[in-house]
Order: sequence, then structure tokens, then C-alpha cells
Amino acid sequence: MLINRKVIAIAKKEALHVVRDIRSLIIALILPLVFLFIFAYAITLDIDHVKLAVFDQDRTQASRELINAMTASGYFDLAALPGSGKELELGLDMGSIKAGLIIPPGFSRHIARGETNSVQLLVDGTESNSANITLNYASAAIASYTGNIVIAAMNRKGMSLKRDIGFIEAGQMAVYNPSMRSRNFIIPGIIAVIMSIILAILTSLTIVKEREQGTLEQLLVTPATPRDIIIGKMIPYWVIGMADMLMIVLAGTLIFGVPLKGDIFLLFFTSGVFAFCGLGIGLLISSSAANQQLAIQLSVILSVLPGFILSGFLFPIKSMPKVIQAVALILPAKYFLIILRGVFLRGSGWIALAFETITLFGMGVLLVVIAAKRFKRKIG
Amino acid sequence: MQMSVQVNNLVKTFGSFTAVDDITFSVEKGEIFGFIGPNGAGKSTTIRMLCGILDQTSGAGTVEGFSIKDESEKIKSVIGYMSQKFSLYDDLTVEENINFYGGIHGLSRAETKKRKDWILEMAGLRGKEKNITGALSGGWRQRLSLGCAIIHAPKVVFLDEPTAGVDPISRREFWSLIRGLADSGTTIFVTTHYMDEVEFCDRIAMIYKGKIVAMGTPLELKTANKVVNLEMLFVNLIRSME
Repeated sequence: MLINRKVIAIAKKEALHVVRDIRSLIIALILPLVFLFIFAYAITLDIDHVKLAVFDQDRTQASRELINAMTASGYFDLAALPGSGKELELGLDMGSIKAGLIIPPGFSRHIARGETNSVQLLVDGTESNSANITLNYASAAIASYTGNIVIAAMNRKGMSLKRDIGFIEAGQMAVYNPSMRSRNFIIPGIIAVIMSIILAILTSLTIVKEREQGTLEQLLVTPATPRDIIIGKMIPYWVIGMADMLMIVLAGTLIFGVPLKGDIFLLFFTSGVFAFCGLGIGLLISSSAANQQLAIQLSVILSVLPGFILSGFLFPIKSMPKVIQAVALILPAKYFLIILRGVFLRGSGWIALAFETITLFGMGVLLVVIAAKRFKRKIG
Repeated sequence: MQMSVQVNNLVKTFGSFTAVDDITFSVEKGEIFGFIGPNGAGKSTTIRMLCGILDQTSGAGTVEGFSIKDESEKIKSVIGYMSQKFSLYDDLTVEENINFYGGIHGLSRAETKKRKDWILEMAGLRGKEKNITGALSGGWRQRLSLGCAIIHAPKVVFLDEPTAGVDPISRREFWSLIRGLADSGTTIFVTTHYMDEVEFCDRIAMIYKGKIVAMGTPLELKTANKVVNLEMLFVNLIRSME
């Protein structure tokens, strides 16, 4: 029997440890929220209000219109109007500006004559990702400004864009995260990482602690099997893990405004399966580690690093080398991340996430079996 | 007489160190068998092998007819074990510790309650059910630990230095509890390094450097070796070995 008197006795005892150690319990319940706030504010992939300096050598209405076209988008803030190219470069060197635009003299004259014109755009490329996005924004702003000039010129000649020229209008829409807020994408990922960390830490001490204080030896002389002990120890921490999950989901949706499109029951059902898996990792560590310190270190390292790097949270797994992709395959956080993004952003249903859910459950069972095996019935 | 524990040529080595060196003995049902020797003589190692939590290197043994080699799970259901550390959970109350050990031995709620009353009476802990175990004094912890170890009324009880670090009055009370258990038919296998406790045992084996150096009833040993106390015998035996 999976749940018997011995399992219940162990679960009760473990719950009493938790209740008696109120400080640890508070930490276990507050830490995930603290993590959520720190990560949610710290990690943002949105780029706006880029500080722009313009060295305007033309100083005409046309050049001012170009500057307006850049800043009107909200992506750029006009931070300085340097008097020379050197001054502009200095600003980039010092980091006081992130982008610079140099408008050559005679800018408006060229436009009026219908000649090709060029402006120079300088971007701080130290953060290549942000630099790319900044360049795209700037190019789009300049292209739209150029378009306006073309339309104005055609109008002057009595032509209309819609009537006289074929025109392609791209109706753009990102289907699953229409406002394309990176926070909507990041927070489900943060939840997966935070849950991996907290679950592994919760159970990482439970066995090694008993070994150190000598009570494990006593447990080994009772008829309780390793499976009884491991399942019994999981139960109270599973409840704490689910409470943590509830709190960060509430904070994510109510405070950070991440939409929860899918079924909330599916969300918590799959979280429960993931919690089983995550606690299994902690127990495996606890049954293997030589002492409590090592167990904590292992659980942090084994959950934080893969959680951030390999789960697909920040870096897409598909663009990783094949070997690393294979490693990510055995990472529960990766599957939970897919589930969370699916339920939150896409509104995926039970069938769409069945594979991930079953995989997580299988991993959980495997972890418990290995932990029970490692948890010898003998000492020495 | 039926044998409760039987050990033949039992050996345990850790690397090049021989902790238990070819020992042979047997313990009768309902007997108090004392394993006497200094720290590191191999007492705890022997108990752990008999309890099925440590594999022997060679030799054989049975507890209540079950082989220590491949029936350790069956042994666990008929024995009680009290380790040197009084394996109690310090952050739990007296009652919670008793309930836990009742549950983990598979006792029902009613059975546990019955045994709990008996343990509280036996250990003199009535009225202290709600006390946190960590705050109890040594003697109480020791008796509670014994109570938890025998909550399932085992046939054999292994006590590993149960009186270490406990005051003399508590020690005496403890031995009278042990005597009561033995009189009701429970086999007691107890280790100690207090020579004055030897007289409480029905039979003793003196162990030194993993070997049994003398065995018999306290009276037999004294008369055969012409000594007035066993401490003297033990010192003489050790000197002759050095």
C-alpha cells in the first residue's frame, strides 16, 4: 500500500518538525515571493527610453521632423544635443547615451532636391542584443519618416498612394502575447525556476539531518521501508510547495498583471506533479549527501544553474548545442516551463500538455525509486 | 532452553581494522545478557549486525530464528533497539514521540494509546505528555527512549549503552525496569562499560579488541578466576593480552 500507517506517522512527524521550526517555515513561504519580485523587476527584455543624442548639423524643420519621428515612438528619449561628433562619441564612451544620430549639413536641401540622403546612426554595441533591437527601432523610425516624405512628394505631384501605386500593408499581430510584454513571458519562467529551487531545498535536509542526529539509525530498525519514509517525508513539503505556488501565481497575475488564459485546475494539477518531481530531487540529494551543508549547496547548485540556463527560461533550448539539448531533456524544470507558458499565455489545455505532465510524473516516480534505493536499509 | 540470539564465528572488518573478531555466543529467552567492554571494543558493531542494519564480513547469526544475513527485515519486526543517542526527536513532545514510534511500527491508534499509557507509567512521565522532549533531563529521556524502542512489545530488546551519561539514581531505576521486562519474558541484550552494572546481568560476555575474553554468569566468573569483583578480572585479562 502506498499510504499506510507508517507513511502517515512519518508525514505527521515531519509536519510537526515544520510547525515547530516556525522561522524556517516563514522563510519557505516568503522566499518565493521575494524571488519573484526581485527577478520580475530585474529581468526585463523590453527596450524603451533609449537615451539618444543627436548631432544636428542641419538645424532645419526637416531635421527636427526626423528627430521627432525618432522620439515620438517612445523607444528613444532625446538626452543631448551635442555640438560636435566628438562630443557625441564621448557620450557613448561614458555611457551617458546609448545611441547617437548624426544629421549631415544640407539634410533638408538634399530632400528638397530629391537626392539620396544619409544620416549616421551610432549604437553602443556592448550589449549586442539590446543594440540590435535599438538599431531596428531606429531604422523603422527613419523608414517611416522617409515614407512620409515620399507620400508628401507624391501628393504635390497630384498622385495618391492608394490609387496610383500598389501597396503592401502587413497586418501584424503576435498571437499569444499580443502586447509583446516580455514580463508576460518571463514571469511564468521565473515561477518554474523559483519552484525548482524551493522544492529542492525543502526536502534536501530531511534525511541527512536525521542521519547526523542519529535518529535515522533508529528508523532503520523499524519495519518502515525506504519507500514509506520517502513518501511520508514528501507529503508535508508538498503542501508547502503548493502554498508557495498559489502565492506566486496570485502575485504574478494580480500584481504583475500576467494573463492566465488557461484552466486554473490544470495549472495546479500540473504544479502538483512538478512538486512531486522537485521534492524527489531534494530527497535524492538528501539521501546521498554526506552532511547538511553539502546537501544545501547541492540543492541550490542543481536547481539554480540548470533552472536559469538550461530550462529555456532565458535562452531558447533549440539554439543550444545538441549535447546541451540532451542534458536539458532530463531537466524537470524544462517541462514545467513549457506547461506554465502554455497555460498562462496560450491557454493550452489538458491534451496539449499531456506529454509534459506524464514526463514529469515519470521522472518523479524514477527519482523516488532511486532515492529509496540510495537510502540504504543499512548503515556503514 | 530455547535460544533467542545465536552467533557463530561472527567477524566484521572495516578495511584493515577488525572491529569484531570471530565471536561466538548465545542468549537464552528472557535472559539479561550483558556485553561488557571499553569504548571501541566492538559492542555497538555487534549490536548493529544483530539488528540487521550492518552487514557482517563473515560468520553467521540468528535472532529469534531469523538469519542476520538474509532475513534482516523479519528480524526488524521482532526486535526493539535503543541506540546510544536515545534517538528521540527533541523538537517533538513526549506524546508526539510515542505516537510516532507507535505509528512507524504499524500499531493502530488504539494499540498506540494503550502502549502510551503503559510507557508514561513505566517512565514516570505522566503529566509531562505535552513537554518538549529536548527539555527533559537525562533519566527521563532515557526511559522515554526505552519506551519508544519497546512500544511494539518486541521479543528481543537491544540496548546500546543505555545508561551512558545518566545519573546513578536513574541508572538504578533503569535496571529495575530492565529486570521487569526480562521477568515478563523479553530477552535483553545490553552493552555497558560500567563494571558496577555487571551484577544486574544474568550472564555476561567481556569483550576487548573485538574478541570475547570471558563469558559466564557473574558468580561463575568470580569463582573460576578467584576474584572478588569482576572489574579486577577484566583488568587482569586485558593486562595478560597486552
